[in-house]
Amino acid sequence: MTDTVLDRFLRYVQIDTQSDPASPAQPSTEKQKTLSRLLVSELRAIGFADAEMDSNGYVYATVPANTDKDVPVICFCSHVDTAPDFSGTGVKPQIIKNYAGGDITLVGDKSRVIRVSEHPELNNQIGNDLITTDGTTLLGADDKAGVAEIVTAAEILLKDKSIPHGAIKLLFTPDEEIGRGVDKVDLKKLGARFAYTMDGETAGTIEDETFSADGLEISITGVAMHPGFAKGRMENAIKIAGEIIARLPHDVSPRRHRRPRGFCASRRRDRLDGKGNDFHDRARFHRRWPP
Amino acid sequence: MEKATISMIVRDFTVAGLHEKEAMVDEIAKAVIANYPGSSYRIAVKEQYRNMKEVLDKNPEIVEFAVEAIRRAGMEPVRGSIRGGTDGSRLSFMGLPTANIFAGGHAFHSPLEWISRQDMEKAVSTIVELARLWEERA
Ligand SMILES: [Zn+2]
Repeated sequence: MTDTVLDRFLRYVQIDTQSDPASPAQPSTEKQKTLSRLLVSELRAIGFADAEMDSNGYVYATVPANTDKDVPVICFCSHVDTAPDFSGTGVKPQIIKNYAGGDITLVGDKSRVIRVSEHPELNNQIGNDLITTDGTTLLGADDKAGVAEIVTAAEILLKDKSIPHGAIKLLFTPDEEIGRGVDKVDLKKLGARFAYTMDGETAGTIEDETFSADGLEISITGVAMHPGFAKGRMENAIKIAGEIIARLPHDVSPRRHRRPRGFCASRRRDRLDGKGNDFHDRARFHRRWPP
Repeated sequence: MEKATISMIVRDFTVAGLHEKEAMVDEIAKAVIANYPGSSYRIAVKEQYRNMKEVLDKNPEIVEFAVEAIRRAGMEPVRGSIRGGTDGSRLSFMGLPTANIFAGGHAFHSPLEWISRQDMEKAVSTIVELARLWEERA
């Protein structure tokens, strides 16, 4: 009996793979390898002979081509880690079969409610089977959904001879949530021409655009008050900095978080119109991108 | 010495837009400092990441095929943008052009996170259709 995408998903989310921005290790947490190792053994069992995890914790595997055509090698990629923002220990996935609509109160913490008003996408899910947490952890659909989807699709591509395809590479990375997901990837070994990350949100979306960003650091040197200086000579650098900040438009203002945070959070899409200079979503952005 | 530092980030979809914003920050700092003759400032700019569209537009079939695969999997494709950096943008600039497809999850990074089985199945179909398309169009 082959595993469905749901079987795989439920299995993967129960493995704690939280990454840690404070850790200099590679991968940042050893526990991510628990899932990576499981993936290698599952992939081997399915029939992917070359499936392996390298010393940096990256999993590589190949679906061999079953066509004579010269097809560019494409890669499907997702990350095994979950965000440091919320606990991923002891995830107890809850299944709501045939969702009838309405708010969802989470059974392990009744103060937590997934409200239709805040999650209007729920309106498109009537009759579907929903998976939530019990309210005490995150779920880790980001991005174990992507992992489960890629493994499931790869099995179909390997076994269903009626679907012609070129060589397909599978790549599962650690530490995406702390901005280190591709630091140690071996692109030569991967050998793909093009790739797709399966890491977006709403069904049907394809994203090919990000912001460009620069970090700016303004260093101000003021005049300290020394004995013998007149009081009026003192120029307080902090005060000057405050004045500069006050004049900045709200779309470019100082970061509050110094500690690196995951940048996958609350990823939002905009329909791009024109230049799309929409920067009001500052707080979310700061949570997402590490300094 | 009396010192202070302001750290900030500027974002735009285009590099030209980024430079405009950086020049504006410089103007503001200059104007403020003008009132403090004994003080000075310096701005250091550090590249954080670049819009992956620059890379993906050179191989438009990456997104075209994804759009078609999503359609064949029974959905209405929606093209979007991501705020912030992603593995996809970094891979794109490392030489592996990479777009991002939905995985179906919602409310990432929180205890309210949820997903449906049906949307995961649609993602599986999208991957299969995409593999088929690349062969078909080769
Ligand atoms: Zn993610």
